[in-house]
Amino acid sequence: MRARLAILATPIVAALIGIAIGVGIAALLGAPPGRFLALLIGQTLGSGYGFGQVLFRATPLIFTGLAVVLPFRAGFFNIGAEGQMAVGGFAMALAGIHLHALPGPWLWIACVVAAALAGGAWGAIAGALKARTGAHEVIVTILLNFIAAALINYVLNRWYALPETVRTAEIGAGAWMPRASAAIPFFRGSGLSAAFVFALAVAAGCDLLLLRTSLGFALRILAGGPRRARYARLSPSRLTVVALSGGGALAGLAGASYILGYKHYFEEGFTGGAGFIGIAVALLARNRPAAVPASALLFGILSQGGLAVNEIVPREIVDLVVAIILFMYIVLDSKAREGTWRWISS
Amino acid sequence: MAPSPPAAVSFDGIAKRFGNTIANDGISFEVRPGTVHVLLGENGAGKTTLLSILTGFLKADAGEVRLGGVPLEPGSPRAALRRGVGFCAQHFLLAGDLTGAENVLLGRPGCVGLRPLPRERIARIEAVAAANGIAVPLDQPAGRMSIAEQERLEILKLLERDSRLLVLDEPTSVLAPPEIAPLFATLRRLAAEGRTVILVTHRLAEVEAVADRVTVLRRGRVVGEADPRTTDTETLVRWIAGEEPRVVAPRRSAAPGEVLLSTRGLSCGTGPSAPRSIDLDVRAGEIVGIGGVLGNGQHEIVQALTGMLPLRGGSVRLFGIPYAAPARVPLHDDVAWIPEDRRGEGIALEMSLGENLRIGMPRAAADLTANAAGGLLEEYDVRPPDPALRASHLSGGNQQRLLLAREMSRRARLILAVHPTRGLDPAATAFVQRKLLDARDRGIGILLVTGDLAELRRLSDRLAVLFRGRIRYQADAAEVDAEAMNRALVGVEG
Amino acid sequence: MDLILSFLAQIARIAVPYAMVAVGGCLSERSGVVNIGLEGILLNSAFGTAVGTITTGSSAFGILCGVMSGGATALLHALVTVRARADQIVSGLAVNLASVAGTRALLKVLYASASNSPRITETPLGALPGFSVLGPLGETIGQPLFLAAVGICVLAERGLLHSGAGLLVRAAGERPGALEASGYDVPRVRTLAVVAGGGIAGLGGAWLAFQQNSFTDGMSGGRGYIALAAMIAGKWRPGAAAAACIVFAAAEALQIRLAGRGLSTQFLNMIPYLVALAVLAGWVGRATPPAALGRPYRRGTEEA
Repeated sequence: MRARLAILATPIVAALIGIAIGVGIAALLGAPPGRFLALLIGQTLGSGYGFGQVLFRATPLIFTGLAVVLPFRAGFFNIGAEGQMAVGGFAMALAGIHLHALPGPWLWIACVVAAALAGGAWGAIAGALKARTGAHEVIVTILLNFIAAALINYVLNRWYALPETVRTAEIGAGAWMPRASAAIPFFRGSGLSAAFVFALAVAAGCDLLLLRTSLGFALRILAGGPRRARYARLSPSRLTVVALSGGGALAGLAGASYILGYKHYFEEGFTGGAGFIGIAVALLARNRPAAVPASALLFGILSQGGLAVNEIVPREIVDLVVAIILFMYIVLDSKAREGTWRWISS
Repeated sequence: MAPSPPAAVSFDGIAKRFGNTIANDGISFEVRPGTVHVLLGENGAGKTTLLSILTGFLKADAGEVRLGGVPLEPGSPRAALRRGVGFCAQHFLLAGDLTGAENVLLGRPGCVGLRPLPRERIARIEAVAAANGIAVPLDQPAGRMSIAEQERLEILKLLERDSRLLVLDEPTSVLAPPEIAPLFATLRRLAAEGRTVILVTHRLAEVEAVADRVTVLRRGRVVGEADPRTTDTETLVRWIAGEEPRVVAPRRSAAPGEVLLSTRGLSCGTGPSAPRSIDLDVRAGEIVGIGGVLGNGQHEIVQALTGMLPLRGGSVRLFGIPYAAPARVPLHDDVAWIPEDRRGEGIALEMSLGENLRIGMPRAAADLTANAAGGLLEEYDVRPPDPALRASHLSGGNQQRLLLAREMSRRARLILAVHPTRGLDPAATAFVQRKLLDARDRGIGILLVTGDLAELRRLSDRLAVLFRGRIRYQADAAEVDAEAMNRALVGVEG
Repeated sequence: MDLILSFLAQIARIAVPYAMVAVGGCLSERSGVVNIGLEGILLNSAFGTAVGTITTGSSAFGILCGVMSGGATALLHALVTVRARADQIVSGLAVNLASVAGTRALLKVLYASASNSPRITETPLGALPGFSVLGPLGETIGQPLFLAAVGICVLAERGLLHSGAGLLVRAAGERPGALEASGYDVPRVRTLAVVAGGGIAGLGGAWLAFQQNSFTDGMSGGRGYIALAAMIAGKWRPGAAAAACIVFAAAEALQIRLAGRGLSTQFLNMIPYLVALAVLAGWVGRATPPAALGRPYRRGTEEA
C-alpha cells in the first residue's frame, strides 16, 4: 500500500521540486522568489485572462500528451509528436483553405480528418520502419521531426506562404471553433476556444479505446513483447504500425487550438515545442489517458507562467523547470519502483 | 598411521530452507583433495542450493563449510573467490563480443591499462591450455565459439586465477557425447595436479567414468556415498530415484478417439539436448506424458508445436492439417497452452486478473462479465479472486492458478501443459491434476510435460522419457517398467 | 584543383562535430548507456566555448570550457542513469531540453540577445607549417584542433578495441555480470565512459563555435542525432563511426554547394536526415548493439 502511495505521489513531488529549483535559479539570476512566484501563480491562476490562457496552452499539450501515451502503452516511445503535430496542422490548414466553401461543421470535420490522417501517416512511417527493419523508433521519430520541418518549409514557401510571412492564408469560416471569451466574459482576451472541450473529449475517447476496447487491449498486450502478442493470437507487426499511427494522428490534431480556434491559419513554428513537452505530460500522467488533461494543466500553467515571469527572468526558466521535473520524475520513479523510498515506505 | 591431510571441502550439517521448502537437510560429507567428486541427484534434490552455499551466493541456515579445515566465510562470493573456489555455472558468464583471451584476462592485474593486453599473459594462457589439453580459439569472439569451447574457456578462466577448487554445475548438459571425453581428460589432469574438482549433475551414466567418488542427494539429504568404480549402477540409480511410490493411475473411462496431434521425426532447436526424431501421437481423450529431467529437450518440443521455434526436420499435423512453422501465425484457437515460463507469455503482470483471463480468447468469449470472471477465479482457488486486482500482486502459486483458469476454460480440443503444477502446494496440485483428468474424460487430448515422476505416472495414459533430445523409453501406463524408466532418466543404456 | 581542395576542406570542417559526437557516443554506448543527450551536449559545449573565449580572450581557455561543459553535462546524465538507474532515453531528452533552454536563457542574461552571442574574434591556432602544400585543405586539416580531433578518433579506436581499459568498458556494456565477477565496479566504469564521451563531444562543440565565430541559438541543428545514426552505421567502432560521419559531412557539404543552384534550400536540408534514416532502416546492414545497452545494472543482480 505504501509502495502504491509512493508511486502515485511521484509526479506531484517531482513537479514541486522542479518548481522549487526553478525559483532558486530565478533567484540566482536576480529575481526575488516572492515576486517570481507571485507572477507565476498570479498571472496564471489569478485572473480570467490568465486562467483562460493556461487552458489555451494546455489544449495542444493534451493532444501531444496522448500522442505519447498511446504508443507507450503498446511499448513504443514516440518522440515525433512535434513533427506529427506540424504535419497534421499543415494538412488541417490546407484542407481549410482548399475546401473553404464548405459550410460548417462539414469544413471542421474535413480539417480534423485531414489532420488526423496526415499525422497518422507521419507516425506510420516510424511504425513501418520499426515493424519491418527493427529500426529504433526513438531516433527515427526524432529524425522525422527535422524532415517534417524541412518538408513543410519547402511546401509552404513554394505554394502557400503569404508574401513576406511564414504563414498561410486563413481557413474557411466553416472550420472556425468558437472562442471562449465570446460566450464567457470571464475568459475575455484569452485564446481559449472550444478546442479545449474537443481535447477533453479526445482524451476521454482515448481512455475508452485503451481500456475498454479489444483494440486497446491488443495494444496493451503488445507492450509485453512480440512473443506475448503471438501467444495472444495477435499480429505484432500490424499492431506496431497501428500504435505509432495512432500516436501520430493524436499529435496531428494538436493544431486544433491554434489553427481552428485562435489564429485560423497555419504559421511555421506554431508547435512551439509542444511535442516535446507532451513527453513530460505523458510521464507525469503515468501514461494514463484520463490523467493527461490534469498533467497538461500543470504544464499549461508553467508555459503561461513563463510569459508572465519574462519581465524579471528569461522565460526559458520554465523550460528548465520542465527538464528538472523530468529528471526528478525518472529518478524518483526508479527509486519508487525499486522500493527504496524508505522515508515513505518505512 | 600418518594423519591424512584435511579434506579439501567438508560440509558439516548444512541446512537451508526457503519458506516451506527444505532444500538442504543436514548435509554432511567430505571431498578429498586431488579427486574428482561428483554430486548426483534429480531436480529438487538440493544440489544447486548446496553449490550456492559453497560459492558464497547463499548463506546456510545452519552448518559450516570448511576448506582445507578452515571455515569459509559464509554468504560472500568474494571470500569464496579469495579462498580459491572457482565456479563454472551452467549458464556461462562470458561477454560474447570479447575474444576468448579478452574474456580470460578481463580485469586481471596488469591488464587494465591503456596498453594492449600483454603478449606474455596471452602466451601463458596458451601454455596452461596446452598443458591441460584444453583447446580453445583464444582469438575468436566468445559469442561465436561452440558451447563446448565456451565451457572450456570458462575453465580456463578458473585456471588463470589458479583456483584450487573447481566447481562445475551440470558441465555435460551442453556438450555432445563426443565432447565429454576431452573435458573429463582435462579434469583428471587437474585432479592429478592436486586440484580438487566437484561436479554437480544428474547424468549418472556420463560421470561414472570420471568420478573418484560419488555422493547422492535426494530431497535435501545424503542418501548414499560410494566409489562408482566398485559400486554397481543399479544401486546408484536406486539411490537417485528412490523407492517407487505405489501409484494407482485412474483407469481411462473410454477408449481414445481421433488423433489430434501427430509428429513424425520432429527435430528442432540446436545443441546437444535439442529434440531429434520425435514421434508422438496425442488422441482425443488421452494424456500423453513426456518426462525427463529439465533441460533434455522437453520445452523445445512444445515450442515447436506452438510456432515459437522453427522445425528443422520432420512434420507436425494438428487436427489432421500440416502445421506450418515457424508460425508468424498466432497460436491455434483450439489449442490451449500452459507455458513453462508463466511470466513470459502466459501472465501479463501489469494487467488485472480479469484482463488476464481474456488474453487470446476468441471474440465471443472475450466479454467475460465480472461475475463470470469472479466465478472462474474462485473455481480455481485464485486468492484473492478479485478480477480488478493487478496480477503482479499475486503469489507465484496463484499466478499459476490464474494461468490454468484461463487455459482450462478455453474450450480447446488439445491442451499443451508444461509443468502445470509448478509452484503449487499439494492440495492445489491435486486439484489441477483432477482438472486435467476431467478434461481427458471429456474427450480432450493433453500433452503433458513434467519433471515430476509421480505426476507423470499418475496422469499419463502413455508416457515417454526424454534424454538428450531423444525418447529413450516409452510405454503405456499399465505396462511401465519402473527400473527401465529410471535408467532412461539418467541416461543409462539398456 | 583548388576547387576540389576547398570542397574537401569544407567536408573536413563539417565532419569534426559529427565525428566527435559519434566517437563520444561509441564510448558511452559500448559501456551500456544510451546517450541521446549528446545533441544537447554539442550545444552546451559550443556555448561554453563561446563564453570562455569571449570572456578571457583566450581560445585555448574556450576550448577547455567547451570540453568541460560536455563532460559536466554528461556527468549529470550518468548520475541519473547509472547511479539512480533511471530511464536513459528520458534523461537524454531532458538534457537536450535543458540545453536549449539553458543556453537561450544565458544568452539573454549574459549578452542581452535572443539569438546570438557576440562574435568570437580569437581563433584557435592556425594550420601548422608544412600543411600549406595542400592549399585550402591544408589550412583546415593542419590546425592543431583538427589534428587533435583526428588523434582522438585514432586513440578511441585503439583504446576501446585493443586496450585493457577498453576491455573493461566493453565488458560493462556486453556482460556487466562478468565485469563485476572480475572485481570491478560496473557503475564506476560506466560513469567514466559516459563522462569521457561527453568531453569528446564537447571538443566537437568547441570546433563548431569557432567555425561559425559565435554561438547561435540552436546551432547544433540535429547533428547530434545524425551522429548517433553514424555511430550505429559504424557498428559502435569509433573508426568506422568517424568514417560514416565523413559521408554525412559530404552530404551536408553537397547540400550547401547545391543550394545556390536553383534547388530549394529547404528541400536539400532534408538530405542529411534522410541519409541518416536510410542508415537506421538497415541500408548498411543490420547492426547489433552491445548486449547490455540500455539496461540499468544493479550490483549483485546477475548471478553466474
